[in-house]
Amino acid sequence: MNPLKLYCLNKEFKHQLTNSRARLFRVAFSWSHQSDVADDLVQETMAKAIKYARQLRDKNAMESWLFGIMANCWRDYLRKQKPMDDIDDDLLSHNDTPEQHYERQDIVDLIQNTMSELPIGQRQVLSLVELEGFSYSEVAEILSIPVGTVMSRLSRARKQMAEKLLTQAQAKDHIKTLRRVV
Amino acid sequence: MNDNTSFSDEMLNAYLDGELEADERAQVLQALRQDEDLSRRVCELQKIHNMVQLAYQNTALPEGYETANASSPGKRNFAIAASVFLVLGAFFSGWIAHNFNQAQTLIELAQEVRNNQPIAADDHWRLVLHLSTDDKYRMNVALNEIDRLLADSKRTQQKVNVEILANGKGMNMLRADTSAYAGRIKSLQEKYDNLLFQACGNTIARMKKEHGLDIQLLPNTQIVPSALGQRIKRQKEGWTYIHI
Repeated sequence: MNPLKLYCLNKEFKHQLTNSRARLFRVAFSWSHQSDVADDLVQETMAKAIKYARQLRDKNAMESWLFGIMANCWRDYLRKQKPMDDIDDDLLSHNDTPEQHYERQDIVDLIQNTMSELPIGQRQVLSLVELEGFSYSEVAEILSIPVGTVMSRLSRARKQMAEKLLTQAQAKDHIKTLRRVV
Repeated sequence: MNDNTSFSDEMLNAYLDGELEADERAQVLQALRQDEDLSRRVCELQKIHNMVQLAYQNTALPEGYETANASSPGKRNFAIAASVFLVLGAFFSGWIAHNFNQAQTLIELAQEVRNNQPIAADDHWRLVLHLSTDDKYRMNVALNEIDRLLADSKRTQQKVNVEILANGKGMNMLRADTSAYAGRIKSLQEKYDNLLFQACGNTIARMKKEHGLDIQLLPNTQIVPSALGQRIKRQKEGWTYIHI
């Protein structure tokens, strides 16, 4: 490849990588709900992306490639945390007491808390579809799971979110706030 | 097939995410018209979709990330694009430049632009969104937000007209052979008669001349002679203009 073309490709790669950084963080945060963990995940993802840049054959596939790297980093992180658990069945315990939880008035906190209670596999699928707008087949590729699993996890995730959020919202009269955002 | 129970949750989710084939989508749409319980199920799923987006759209970024205000790329890009085009827009319609960095969503941004315009006597909001990129994220955001705006306006009986004007790479959204959004656009067109998709005639001619492409557009897409001309025309007519 001629050096000029290589230089341009590199430049475009770095530009796209920089542009994706904030989006990677947002999704990493929706998986971990800890800013420092999300930041580490993004840094690790970017370092790996630069290291393995040559593996990316189709620059149009860069988005799903990047999120795929991050999904691997997240899997590694979870393995280090809880080596014996299958991440699909892993329900994270909640730090708040039920009283604190129900006292939260902020709808954003409420949604994030509910999301953080989802099993990790479901949470990953939900955030990739909702926040990044990936298609089911792209999510399947990113997480290395079958499309059918993407569909069932997404379905279970939304159902669980609806059961918890819509009931809680009505109970706490949050519904007025919700109407403004829907 | 129109029985509510015959639609699995997976299928309704796929319907919402634009993943169904045209015939399946038509079946769901048909059933939705007749079945209140099914509508309620879809409505709940749509609410969850909106809530999750809301919960993370302003995620605070750590130090060192591009800009402190950039909670999401969409928001930042929309804000920058709108600011840039507002300056150009001021030339045509005397708009006042404004700090749009606080705007939360595309529609909120558009509303801020509208607030700086003379309001139409009949309180009719006319909005033109100019799409010149095939960036999937922006396209998704645009279609989601338009859907939400039009659904809200239908409910509140606010008069709104939206035109989505595509040229350059944005044409990929409206090309029958390349669009990943054919089903989504068809469903939006079926839902709202006040939404119009327009393609730039100049871009079509250029693609034919330079690449020999004979472009077929999605059904009900209108061709305007030039995107730039259409944009200027609409701005002069008092439409709110946003470049996405």
